[in-house]
Amino acid sequence: MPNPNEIRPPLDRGTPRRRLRPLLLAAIAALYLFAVPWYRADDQPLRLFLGLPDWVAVAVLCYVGVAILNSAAWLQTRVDDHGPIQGPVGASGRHRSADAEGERGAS
Amino acid sequence: MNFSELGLLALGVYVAILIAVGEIANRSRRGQSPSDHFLGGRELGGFVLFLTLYATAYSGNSLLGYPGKAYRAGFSFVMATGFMMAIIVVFHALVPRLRPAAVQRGYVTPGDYIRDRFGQDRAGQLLRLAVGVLMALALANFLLAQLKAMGEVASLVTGDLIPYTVGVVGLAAMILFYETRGGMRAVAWTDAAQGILMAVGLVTLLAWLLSGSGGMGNVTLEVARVRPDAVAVPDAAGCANWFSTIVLLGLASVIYPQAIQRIYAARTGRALSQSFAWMAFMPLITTLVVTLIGIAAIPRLDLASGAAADGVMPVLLREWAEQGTLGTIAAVVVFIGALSAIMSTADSCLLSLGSLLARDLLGQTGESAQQARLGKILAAVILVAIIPLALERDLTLWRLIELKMELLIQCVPAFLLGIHWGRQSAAATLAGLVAGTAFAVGLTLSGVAQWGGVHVGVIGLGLNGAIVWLGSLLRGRVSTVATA
Repeated sequence: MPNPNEIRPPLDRGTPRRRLRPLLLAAIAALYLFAVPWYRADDQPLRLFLGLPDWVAVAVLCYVGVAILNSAAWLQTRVDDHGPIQGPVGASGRHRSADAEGERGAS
Repeated sequence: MNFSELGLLALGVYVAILIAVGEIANRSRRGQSPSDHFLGGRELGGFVLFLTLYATAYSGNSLLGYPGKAYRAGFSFVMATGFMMAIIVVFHALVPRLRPAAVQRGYVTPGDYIRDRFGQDRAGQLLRLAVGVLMALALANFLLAQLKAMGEVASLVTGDLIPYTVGVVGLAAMILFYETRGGMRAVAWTDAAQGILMAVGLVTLLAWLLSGSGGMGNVTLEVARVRPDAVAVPDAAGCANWFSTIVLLGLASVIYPQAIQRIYAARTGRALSQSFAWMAFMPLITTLVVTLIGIAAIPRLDLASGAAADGVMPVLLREWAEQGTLGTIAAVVVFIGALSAIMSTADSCLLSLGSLLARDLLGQTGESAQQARLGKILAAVILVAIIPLALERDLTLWRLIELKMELLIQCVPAFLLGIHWGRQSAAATLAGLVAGTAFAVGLTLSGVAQWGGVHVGVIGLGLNGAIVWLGSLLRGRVSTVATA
């Protein structure tokens, strides 16, 4: 059980490590866009690159890039099991806790 | 000893190991509670967690359906590597918020999150029920695909020494045995061994294929000669389909109940992050490899384009086995690897299905041993009910995957939007889910699977999301006016 009195380090929201993650995710989105050959004419003759049709090689290289950046993004991600629950789920819990307090008080 | 006999022997050894693992896991139990049975006591460490995520994510669909699809579609199926990676990308939107809530509030199933987030009023209860039904249908569908794949592999690779029917029924019984005895521990431990076998087997098979064909360049030129359409740049509809498939599978796979339960089952958040960091690379050594295997088979094999193309992998294995003793042994390793990938996914589906039925559909809560028992019984009943459907061999595996995803993707707003947006209401989420599902299922049943290359499930999700957004805003305004 987590100790509620335990002093925790402050969330690293503003650190370079924390700021890097959105940049990595944006780069991943760009690679996803570039991997699909929507910008290529569909009647071009076959050209090989790395033993693959060139548009396939581009897609594979993009996905290699996605793997590297995504792995880095996960290593930058802090999943704090006992930290505050962020977002609406945390809010629903606070409401419920307040209700429970009220019920206990009333009884 | 020929390939079929060696395959049969290896299968026997493999099954014996599974039974032993089930027993060891059963003795390692710390109790009979639902979290102990369904989540392994929330004690999965980084390495086992990574391997169980890997073995669960890559299934019979990956091993049989994907090479079959690549064989039919050609190089454009490289999109599969993209959508398998998209799953690990989309988890960024879910895990950092879901995991602390799961740990602190003791979630066991996806419905526990829905109950917590959307409340227990009428709309919240109906939403939990609707999500539970869609997830159970998707899981049953997924389980069906795995059973079919088990039967195919057992029949084709043992040269029908184990007929399709016996393969489906016998291996399903085996899964039921060790899953019931050992719960998530048995599933995770067998997954770990199965994941390693699968990766080794696939990479070995690709190496053999490429070395026998004079390298990838020669394979590509041969494919271009035999099937020029297979190397052509996709047209506009093909590119739209590429994007649509990434959205469909990337979003829907994130809310697989078994994936969500692995988020709950991790020992620590750090173990979870590290597992995902490793998982990011797995599509390159699995999905890309099976895609290239399917493509390399184009000039070698002449299969019919329907369900028969799902047999690409087993036919290649038999061909490999005819190259001599070393080829026979290597092919058997791949065969067991493929079978283990299929069984690891099936066992995870079955475990999730049991917990989902007991808690999310029948509304059980708490940590009673009776609930875990109920989950086991329900899983067994569902498995027995699905087996007759698995004996029907007409539907291709790929179509089964798409049908499942079109249902599952309609649950996305409840999770990926609901965990971030405080104003999202249960009633609007329910309305969006019902409308999106009706739209996607209605069009699918009337024979329209895609519009301009975009899956009807993705269009249904657009409709679903719009209703959730507008409905939640409208409800917020109505509440504000009423309060004033």
